[in-house]
Amino acid sequence: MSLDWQPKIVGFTCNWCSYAGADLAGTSRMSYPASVRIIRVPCSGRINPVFVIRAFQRGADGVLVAGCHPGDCHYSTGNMYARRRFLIARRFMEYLGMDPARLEIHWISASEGQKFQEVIKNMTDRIHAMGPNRKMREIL
Amino acid sequence: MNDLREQLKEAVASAFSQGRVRSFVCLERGFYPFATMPAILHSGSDADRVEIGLADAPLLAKYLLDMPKPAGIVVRSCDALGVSRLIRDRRVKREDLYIISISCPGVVDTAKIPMSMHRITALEKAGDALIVHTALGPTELPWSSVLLDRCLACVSGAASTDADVVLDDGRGKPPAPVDYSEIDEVEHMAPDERYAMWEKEFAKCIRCFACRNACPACSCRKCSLDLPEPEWLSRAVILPEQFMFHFTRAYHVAGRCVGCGECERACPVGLPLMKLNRKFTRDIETLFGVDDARIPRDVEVLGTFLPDDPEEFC
Ligand code: SF4
Ligand code: SF4
Ligand code: SF4
Repeated sequence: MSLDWQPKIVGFTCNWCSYAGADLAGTSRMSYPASVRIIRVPCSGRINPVFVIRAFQRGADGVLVAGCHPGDCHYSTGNMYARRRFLIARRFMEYLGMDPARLEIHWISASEGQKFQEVIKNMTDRIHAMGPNRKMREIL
Repeated sequence: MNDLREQLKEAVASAFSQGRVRSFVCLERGFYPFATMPAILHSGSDADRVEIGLADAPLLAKYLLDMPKPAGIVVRSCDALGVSRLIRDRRVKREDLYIISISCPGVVDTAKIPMSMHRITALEKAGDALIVHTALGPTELPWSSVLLDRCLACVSGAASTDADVVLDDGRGKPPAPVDYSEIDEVEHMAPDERYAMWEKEFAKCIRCFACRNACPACSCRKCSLDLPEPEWLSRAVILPEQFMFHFTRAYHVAGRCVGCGECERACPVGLPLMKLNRKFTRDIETLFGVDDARIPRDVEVLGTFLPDDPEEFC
């Protein structure tokens, strides 16, 4: 590991809240680590847990799943299904031996640019300390 | 037991004679005289072949998919869950089925009999014991020590009541107590140790998909795994893809798995697939307050939510 190793974080963000939150962080010129690669999805309910495995396979060191706060979903209930799904999927990944700290799930609204900034900062710091992910990875 | 078999034969024959079925799936004598294999009958005159299945009896629900309808099936309660799964997944219609349910004292797993299959001439259940007959004389083994794993977690050996004919001789296995200790064991391992264990297991998988084929909850006609150019899972049998496959398989049946254990029995390399399925089952029960998640319901656990589901994300 070279000294300037930076973690790669794949961030799945929903179009209506979390992506807009990230956008707000950007337009407000809040700086956050460039470690995150955002993938915009229509709704957190669109995020198949298999996406997360795929991200780890292809070299992610951490994955962020972000959606609207429960009750605020643009499609009214998509995030509620996502919550159920990730409650069990996250436990299952842990059961397979993944470190649960590599997968974070947050509710970030369109006005929470600052929260987005903090989440990315904290996650980057934590994963930086943990080092690169080697589990389930295709290319080591 | 034999009475039950006679009753069953009669019930199957009359299903044909009354014109209720065009085909019937049941068990018949297998390669070894004491084991059984599936048989699809097309006429009442075949009813003599019907066996109850004392040992190694496979479950039959999945065969319904391709049988001419109306189709008959004989089920024990674990198989009835599989049938109910197929009905709820809209793979078969209840009105196209003629179900005969039987009570079941448990099914012997011949792999648990500590002697070579070739030496066994006959098996017999006597009270709480299995009598293994060989050329050298009989040996007695405790009944519970030789049962299939699925029977050790049996929902109930009584004949299921959602059936057209219910044959219950009162000797069904009582429901097994809930026991998730094998899941606890894995959970108590260190993450790296766990990962190494699964790596070792998954490395054995030859991706034959027998686990999927045997599963009553995995019944899509077109499975993404069969596409000539699969998007989700490459054909490469490499470790990261094994994790992908096993996550996908287990997650696809999460909340719908009936716990029949046919996946694990079908696996030619002995992967402990129930350790994956039952992790989901247990988490679903504890997180969402579901009482016995193996039982198919009208609303899927993952197809719904409650506003006050546990909130651990922030
Ligand atoms: S699980 Fe229950 S019903 Fe099924 S074979 Fe075993 S004892 Fe019989
Ligand atoms: S996953 Fe295995 S135990 Fe569950 S329903 Fe399918 S075959 Fe049965
Ligand atoms: S049956 Fe066993 S070897 Fe075949 S794909 Fe399933 S787990 Fe792999």
